[in-house]
Amino acid sequence: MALSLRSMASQSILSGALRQTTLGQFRTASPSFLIRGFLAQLLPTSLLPWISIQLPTLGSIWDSILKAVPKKKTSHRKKRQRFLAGKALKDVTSLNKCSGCGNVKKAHHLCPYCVREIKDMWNGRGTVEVEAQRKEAREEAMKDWLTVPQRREANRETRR
Amino acid sequence: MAGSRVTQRHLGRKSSHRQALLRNLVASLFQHESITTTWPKAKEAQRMADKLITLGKRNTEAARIKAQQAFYEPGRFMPKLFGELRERYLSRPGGYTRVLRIEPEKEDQAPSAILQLVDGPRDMRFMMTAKTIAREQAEGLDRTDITKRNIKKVTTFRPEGSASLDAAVQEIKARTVDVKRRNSGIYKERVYERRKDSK
Ligand SMILES: [Zn+2]
Repeated sequence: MALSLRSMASQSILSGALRQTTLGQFRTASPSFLIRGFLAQLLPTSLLPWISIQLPTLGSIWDSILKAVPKKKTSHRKKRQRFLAGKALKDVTSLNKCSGCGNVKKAHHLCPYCVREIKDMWNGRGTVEVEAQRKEAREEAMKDWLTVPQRREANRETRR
Repeated sequence: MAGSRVTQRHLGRKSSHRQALLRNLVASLFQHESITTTWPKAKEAQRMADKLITLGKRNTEAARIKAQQAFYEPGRFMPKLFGELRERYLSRPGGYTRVLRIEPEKEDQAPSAILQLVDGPRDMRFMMTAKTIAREQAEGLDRTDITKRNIKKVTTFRPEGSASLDAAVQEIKARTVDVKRRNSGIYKERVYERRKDSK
């Protein structure tokens, strides 16, 4: 808005003075300006027809007045609070007991513990023995992996 | 057209993508007997699977042509549909698949479900009923009406129904469950990308 005010002023009030004072620029710009500049030196300024002072109109005055704007940027917290209003988590009250293990579970849903157990049964996993065996095998593989640099060193020795 | 009845869940996909998804889901169901997916996908795949099994039971030339169009690998699934599944459901009047709600599988909390072929080797309701009976026997509880109804559901059309249920009960009783592993079953599959600075 400050910009528009300045440009408006330069168009109307200052234009005459500006053109008069910066005639040197116009002289170099084009031959027509050169002639005009020459005339400007000869004639008194009030007689020049192209110097006219425009008074600002009512509409342009309203444009240059500042209007109401927020004083501060809305903080992240306030923004999230506004967007998430009324979206808080609700309590789950439809609960009952699992018939397979006795744990609390959601009504009309299968118990996650029982589902895991049954899937393990199908996949041959989940018993204490099987899981112990798998753990042992995993540790064995880990040991192997840990000894890789040593074995590489040993191989190098034999090659020498 | 606006205002017309929606006959199918769109599943956030255009028609061709949705059709491909459902064909893949049904193929996976026929291959594995039981699949875990989101509940809306399970319900849509259930419709398609039930219709295909009906075609399998009809077993005419027209039915074969229609069923063949549903599979990307007809050579792999047509023999099962017109052989094993047809025989399994010959006496059952509809309802060849079952959708059971489970806790959300992934951390986006999308409602999840198990879609399964009824009376197959991976019948979750059959196993849950067996587990309930095992607990009843171990803790000396009374049989509830729901359990009675479930026993009827899982044994009526299954060949050697009661015997196989008893066998499953014995198998469950004989197991010593790794509790730590079982309790880890409630962890969710990751969906969102981890922050690099989080542990
Ligand atoms: Zn349970």
